[in-house]
Amino acid sequence: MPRYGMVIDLDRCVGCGACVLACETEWQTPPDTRRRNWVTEIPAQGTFPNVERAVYVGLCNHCDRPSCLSACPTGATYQDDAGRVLVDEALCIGCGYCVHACPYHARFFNPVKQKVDKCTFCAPLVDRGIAPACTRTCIADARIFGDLEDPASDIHRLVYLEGAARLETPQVAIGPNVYYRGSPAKFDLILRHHPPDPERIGPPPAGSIWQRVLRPAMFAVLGLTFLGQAVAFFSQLVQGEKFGRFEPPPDEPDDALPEPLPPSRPEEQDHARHR
Amino acid sequence: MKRSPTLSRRGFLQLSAATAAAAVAPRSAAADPLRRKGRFGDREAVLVPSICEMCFWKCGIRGKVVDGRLVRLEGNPDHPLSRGRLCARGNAGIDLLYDPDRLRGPLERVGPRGQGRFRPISWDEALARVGAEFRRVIDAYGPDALAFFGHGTSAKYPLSMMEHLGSRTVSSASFFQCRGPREAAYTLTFGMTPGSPERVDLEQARAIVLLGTHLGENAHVSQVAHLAEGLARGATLVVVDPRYSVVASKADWWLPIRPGTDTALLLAWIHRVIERKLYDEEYVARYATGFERLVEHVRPFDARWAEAQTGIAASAIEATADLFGATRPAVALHPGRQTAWYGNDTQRARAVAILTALLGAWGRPGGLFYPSPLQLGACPCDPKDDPARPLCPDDQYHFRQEGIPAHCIIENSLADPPAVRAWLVWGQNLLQSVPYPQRTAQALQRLEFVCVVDILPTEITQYADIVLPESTYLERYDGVFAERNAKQPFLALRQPIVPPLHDTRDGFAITRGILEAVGRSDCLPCASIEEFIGLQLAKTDISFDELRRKGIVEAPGWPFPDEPKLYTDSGRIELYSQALADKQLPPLPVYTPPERNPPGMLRLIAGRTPYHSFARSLNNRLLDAHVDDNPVFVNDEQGRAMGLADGDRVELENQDQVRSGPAVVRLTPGLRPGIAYTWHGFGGRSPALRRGFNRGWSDNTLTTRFAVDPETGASGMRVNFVRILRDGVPLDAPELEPPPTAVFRDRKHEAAAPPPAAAPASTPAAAAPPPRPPADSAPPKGGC
Repeated sequence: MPRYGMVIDLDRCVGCGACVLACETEWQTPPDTRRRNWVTEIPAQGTFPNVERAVYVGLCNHCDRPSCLSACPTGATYQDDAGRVLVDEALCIGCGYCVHACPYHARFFNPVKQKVDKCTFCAPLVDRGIAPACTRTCIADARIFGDLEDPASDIHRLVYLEGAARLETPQVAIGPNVYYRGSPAKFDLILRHHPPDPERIGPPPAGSIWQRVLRPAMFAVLGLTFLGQAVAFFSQLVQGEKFGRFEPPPDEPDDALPEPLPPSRPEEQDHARHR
Repeated sequence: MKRSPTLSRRGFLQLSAATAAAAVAPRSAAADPLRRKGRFGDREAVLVPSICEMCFWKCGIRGKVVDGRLVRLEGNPDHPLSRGRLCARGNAGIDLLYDPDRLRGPLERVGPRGQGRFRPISWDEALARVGAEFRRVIDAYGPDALAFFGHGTSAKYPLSMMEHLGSRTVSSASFFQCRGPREAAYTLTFGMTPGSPERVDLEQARAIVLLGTHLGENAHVSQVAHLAEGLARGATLVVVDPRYSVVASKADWWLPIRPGTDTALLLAWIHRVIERKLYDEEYVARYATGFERLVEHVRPFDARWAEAQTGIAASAIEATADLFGATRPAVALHPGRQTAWYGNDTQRARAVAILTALLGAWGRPGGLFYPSPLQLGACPCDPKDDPARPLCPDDQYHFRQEGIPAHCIIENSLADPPAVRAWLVWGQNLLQSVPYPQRTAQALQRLEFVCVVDILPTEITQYADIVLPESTYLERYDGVFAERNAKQPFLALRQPIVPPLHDTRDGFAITRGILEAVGRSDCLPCASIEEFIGLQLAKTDISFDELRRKGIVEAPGWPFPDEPKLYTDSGRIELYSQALADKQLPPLPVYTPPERNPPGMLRLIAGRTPYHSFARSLNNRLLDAHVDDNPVFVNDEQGRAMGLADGDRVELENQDQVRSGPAVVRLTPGLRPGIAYTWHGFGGRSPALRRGFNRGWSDNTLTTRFAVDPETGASGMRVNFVRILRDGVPLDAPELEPPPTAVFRDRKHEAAAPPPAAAPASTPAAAAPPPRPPADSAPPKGGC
């Protein structure tokens, strides 16, 4: 089973935005909410002429331990066998809790579809053997996509042998699978200006109440109900049918037998005998 | 070298006329057996290979058509240069096709010229009017009274038409406002231009030198890819630019040069390379001429002299020259593209060419390679060599190519009496591309007749008497491209991905229509562009159908011949140019110091954003959503000293008191003080382009001065200065001259170090990070 990931080569990337336009047009995200992937300039920092500039190229990281999965109340968002974090649009109710639960701002609400939208690593294309749109279009060949677990792949080498870096901090280390190689100074600028947000590791306050209180409570009540049922069932099994409806109380007359007929009137009784 | 199995050397021999492809009627894409099928989402799509024209780099594209609608544009993996890559603009080409503001049919002016009021008319009416007017002007004033400004792939057909009509009053913006100086310089030195795409072998270079070329922000796809590859293979990058461009941030050496002093740097490099015997002695002895005179000429121009001129530390000038010596001949000295800067530009480009020659890089791997001899069939309607002396003074611009300078035509249109009476403007928004647009507008009002051919209702169309709408690149054929300037040469076909949406025509048909209306259809024997393509292919053994199916056919090339082929008069590389001397122009490069900034003013310099093609794409909805405004970038220290803050809204007023619209200030440490930098082409003033109207501010409106290059007539445009005003109050820029400097980063070893967990010591003192944007806000658009 492949485990997909991507490497962004900061030495090659020129920040041209081709990848964003390719993704927008491939997946037809609305122009004003385009967010499946992004190219964000970090303008020159420093003092002339000792300056550095960088480009933060990002997309959903399809993390090892995605913080967005448990925020979803319907189970619409899931992680497939290849590690891709996806949204089942049939189940998505557009509540947006998962949007808040991504420290990389990788998810967004698509107002046209009225669902949550995000990078899918171009799953439908990749599953047909075609590389993601962003990777194919990149004019500097700065994106490397592939199976992290294939020792013959470029990405395996870049990540496991050459030490491509994860955009993680001590506070947010959920195992993103978009890595960065190249200029350490540029990577450092990205980490400083766009670190993963530790306050976005779960759903929003309303969703937090849902997640921390209501959802566990709901399951607790449901669980207790089932537990109660289970206890009752096993108790019946062990003790027999003692409390059934037709079990008479001990020492009481037999209700099933009819009452004896009342004796007839005495004069009717004598007359019958004297005829 | 990979050779196409279908095209052998015999393919270059002329075949009999019977094999020339007959006119082919355009077929419906869906029914066409030549078309491959693909998918878009869960729908079946027809795939059509073609060539992009969001800019003029000609990357390969593949259009996906579902139920007759273009749904996606991707790169064509078969294109030997772009290999499936496609920039932001190429991906966004769908919006050009479906742009609601597109010209939908011919238009005739109603009301005064310049107000952009038109009524729709038929093609027959429109062409009849154009033909009649051209005929009248030619008959009354002579053919030179009819002028042509052209740009784009289809401009070569009307250019040829002009020649047949006898007019020499033609101007190509891509020469006179762009490539001119380097074309002249390399032709003088080597006997040929460096080509487009430039024939720099970036992939195999050991050292790469960029003078102002901001590759990456200039999204010339294959060249960016080759640069990235060359750097990945370990080339050392030297970037000479007053601005910390994206590519400067990848450089080993960033030389933040004082604007206008590049020639001084080049002369010092030549001086050092000669003094330390870093040049290829054998190569120079065998192939070059004038070396001894060059030695004498550069004697005074040492690194210390150049430091005082350029603001670059002498040690860096010497170290980079030594680098070239160590890495030659694999030194890719990029010849530049837009080289019309200060009016002394052919001299600067000559210095680049001379240094290239000294290093033995011309015709060598890692340097500059040779074009392929690939030839297509010639149509009698193909333009020939430059016409003889037209409306330019005889003693000027001897080394120009592609017509005469635009300003000659404009001045001749305003003369008393005017020598030029009618204009045909083709695929060129003159009011954005040619400097001093105010003068152009005056000329437009003087003319007796103006015909404009365009795709969108740009500013220039608003001045037309007749507008003829051309089909977009997605709806038409163009003549087969013979790409000679690639290590893997090829033929490429631009073909319709969808039929024309509106009542538009391809450039060939428009030209033919005008010629017929003028009474000269003898000049264009082909009935259609398809027939013309057939003639082109007649010299090969490739069929039209094969080319339609594949889009690309590779051809042989010999980029690195054993012996350089030199087409100069002397048959040698002319370090000393006798041709220049014969015209009383400096035969060896001369440095002219730039003028100083007027007190309180900044020099206006413009470049590119990768999301747009100057003014061409500003109405594009997809691209506009990313970049819809052009900031004015100012050095942060200088800006703060003026009282500016990042994000301030200001106006700019130039040396001729012309004032721009509002501009947003971006303060940056990545720009040498003394400069106001922006992206060219914004501030569109055609209300018919509803999305692009008034977006940003126009640098061209402030380019009222231009410096004419004596060798070519090209217009140097970096000679305008601006004062910044906020709320109408002028803010004087203080004089701020940094000490001589240079930046060296040991990039290779830096890259080898493991990425840091926390802020590393090696990064420069950083400004405080900007405030974090609110959750889910869109990322900021644009950058420095």
